[in-house]
Amino acid sequence: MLTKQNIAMALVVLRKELKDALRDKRALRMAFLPPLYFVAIFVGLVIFAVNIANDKKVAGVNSIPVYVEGEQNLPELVAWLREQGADIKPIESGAFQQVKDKKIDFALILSDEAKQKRAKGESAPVWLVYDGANQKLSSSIGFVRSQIYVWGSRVGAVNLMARGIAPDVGSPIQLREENIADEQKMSVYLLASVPLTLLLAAFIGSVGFSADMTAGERERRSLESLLITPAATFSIYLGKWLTSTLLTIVILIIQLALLAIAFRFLPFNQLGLRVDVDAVDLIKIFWVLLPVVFFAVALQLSLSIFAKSFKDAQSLIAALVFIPMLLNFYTMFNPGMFYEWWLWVPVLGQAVVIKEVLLGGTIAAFAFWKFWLVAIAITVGTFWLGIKQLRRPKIIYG
Amino acid sequence: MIRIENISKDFGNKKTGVVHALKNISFTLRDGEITGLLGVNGAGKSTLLRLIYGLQTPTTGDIFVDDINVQKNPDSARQRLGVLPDDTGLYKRLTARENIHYFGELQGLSPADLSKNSQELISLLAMENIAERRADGFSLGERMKTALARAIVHQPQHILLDEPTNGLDVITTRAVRHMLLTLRDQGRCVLFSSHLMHEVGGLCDRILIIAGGEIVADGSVAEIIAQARTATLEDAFIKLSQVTERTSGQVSEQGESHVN
Repeated sequence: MLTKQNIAMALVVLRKELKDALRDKRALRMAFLPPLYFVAIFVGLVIFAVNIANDKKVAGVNSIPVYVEGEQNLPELVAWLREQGADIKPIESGAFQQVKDKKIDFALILSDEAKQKRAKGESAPVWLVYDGANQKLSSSIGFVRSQIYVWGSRVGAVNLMARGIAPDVGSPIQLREENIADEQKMSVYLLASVPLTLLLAAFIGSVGFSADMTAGERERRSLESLLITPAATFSIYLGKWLTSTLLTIVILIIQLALLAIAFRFLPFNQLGLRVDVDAVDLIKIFWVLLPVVFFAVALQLSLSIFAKSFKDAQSLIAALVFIPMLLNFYTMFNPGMFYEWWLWVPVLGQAVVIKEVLLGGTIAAFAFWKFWLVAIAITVGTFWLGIKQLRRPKIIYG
Repeated sequence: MIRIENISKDFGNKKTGVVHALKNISFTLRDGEITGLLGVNGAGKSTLLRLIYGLQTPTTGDIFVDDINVQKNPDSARQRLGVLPDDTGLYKRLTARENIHYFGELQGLSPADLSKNSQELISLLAMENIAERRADGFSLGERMKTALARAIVHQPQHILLDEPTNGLDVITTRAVRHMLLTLRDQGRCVLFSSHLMHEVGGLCDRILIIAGGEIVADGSVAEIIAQARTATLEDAFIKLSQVTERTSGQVSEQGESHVN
C-alpha cells in the first residue's frame, strides 16, 4: 500500500485539498475561531475569579456591616470585632424589632446584664438576632459568631493564665477550617475545562474540512470523476486524511500557544492554585493529543462518507462531540477517581493525563505508548472502513 | 480499442425486484473512430459507460481496454481512459486551470507535460477567459468545457463522454465537436452518448443503439437507416428503440436505489 507511487499521489491530493481548504472561509472560521474564543473566555473567567477572591480578601470583611445595640456594655468585644474588620453600626435601641421588621439583616445585642456579669467574671450573655431563612447571611453570621468565640476563648485563656493555669486546659480542641468553596472551586473547574477544550479541538477541530472532502465531494458530484483517475483509493483517502490532520495540528498548536501565554500571565497563585506549565509540559500535552488527532480525523472522514451533503455530514459528525464531552465531564465531576484501565480508553485517558500535567503531576511514560497503540488501531480500522466505502456504487451514485 | 464481451448487469435483489439493465452485450470499439451511443432514458447507456471505467462491476462478462481487463486491473485500465461522466462537478474554489491540473497530476503527468497539455486544451476549447477564474459561478458551458479538459488532459487513447454537449450553446457545442474530430484524427477511440440525433448523425463514424439493455443496431448512419427502413436516423432510432422497449419493458440506468 505504501508504495512510492501511492505516496506521491497522496501528496498530490494533499496539495490540492490544502489549497482548497485555505480558500474555504466558512470552514476556516469554523476551525480557527473556537480556540481563540475558548482561550479568551478562559482568561476572562480566571480574571473574574481572581477579582472576586481579591475583593473578598482586601475589602471583604470590612464590607460586613454589624449592627450592635449596647456597644458600651462590652466595649472590648466590639473593639475586637472592629479590629477584625467588621463595620460596626451602633443602634440605640429596638434592634430585635428592627431585625423582625426586616429593616436590618441581623444584630448583636449586648445587654446591661452582660456588662454586670462580665464585671463579676461570669459568662456574659450576648444575643445574635437574625432570620435563619435568609441564606445570604450565612457568611456574615458565621464571621460574627466565630469572632465572638475567638474573643471568648482569648479572654478565657487570659483568665486561666492569670490564675496560673495553662490556657490549653480550657480548650482541648483547636478546630481549623479551610473553605475551598466559591472562587477556588471555580478555578479548579476552569482548569479542568482546559483538557476538555484541547480534546475538543483535537477531536473535531477539522470537521468542516473533513466533511467537505468527503460528503462535499459527493454533494458537488466530483467524487465519480476523482475515482475514475488511476489514483488508488488509499492514496486519495491518505491525502485527505493528511490534510485534516495537518490542519488540526495547526489548530492545536495555536490553542496551546495561546494557553501558554495565558498560563504565563494569569495570577493562579492568587486563587491558591499552583499552575506551573512550562514548554516541556506543553510538548507533553501535544504528544498526548496527537494520537487523538490521528484517529479522530479518520473517524470524521469515514463517517462523513456516509453523508450525502456537507450539512448532513456536519450533523452526523457533530454527534462525535459527545464522546470527549461525556468522558470529560465524568472526570471533572469525579476529580479524585482514577483507574489504570482508563489509560486504554481513548479520550478518557488523555483527559486525565492532561489534567495531571497541568497540575504538575508526573505521568508514567507507558501512558503515552498506550495512547499510541490504541490510536493506531482505531486509525487503521477506520481507514480500512473508509476505503472500502469510497468505491461502493451506492456512495458514488447514491 | 475497447472490447466488451458478453456483458450483463443486473440491479436489485429478489426482495426489491431484479432489473436487467444490460443483457449479454458484446462489441468492440475501434481506434480512430467516433462511436455514438444512442438510447432513450433508462436504456442502459450510463450503466454501460460505468462498467467500462470500472466504477461498477458487471454481473457477467469481461471488458478489456487495450487487452487490460478492467475488472482485474481497474487502475491500469483507467490510465488509458479519459472519462466525462454524466453530471460531473468541479472544485469551486479552484480555478479552471487548477481543476485541470489536479486531474493531470492524478494521472501522473510530469509538470512540463501538464502545463503544455492544459494550455493546448484551454486554447482548443476557447477557455482563456476563464482559465484563471475560480469555478464558483461558472455557466453550464464553462463548467462543461472545464470538465472536458480535465477528463482528457492526459491525452488518453480512449475517450468516453456521457452527453458532453447537454445544455451547451451553439458555439461551445461546435468547439466540442471540433475537438472530438481532432481526437479521432489523432487515432483515438471515442465513445459518446447523446440524445441529439443531428449531432450523432453528423459526427459519428459508427452508431450503437441501445434499448432494453440490448444493442439493437450497430453500424453507420446509412446502415441503420437501411436496417430500420425509415427516412431519417431519428425515425430509425424511434422505431428500433420502441420495438425493443415494448418487448422487454422499461429498465433503469440509475444505480442509486439498487444494490450492486
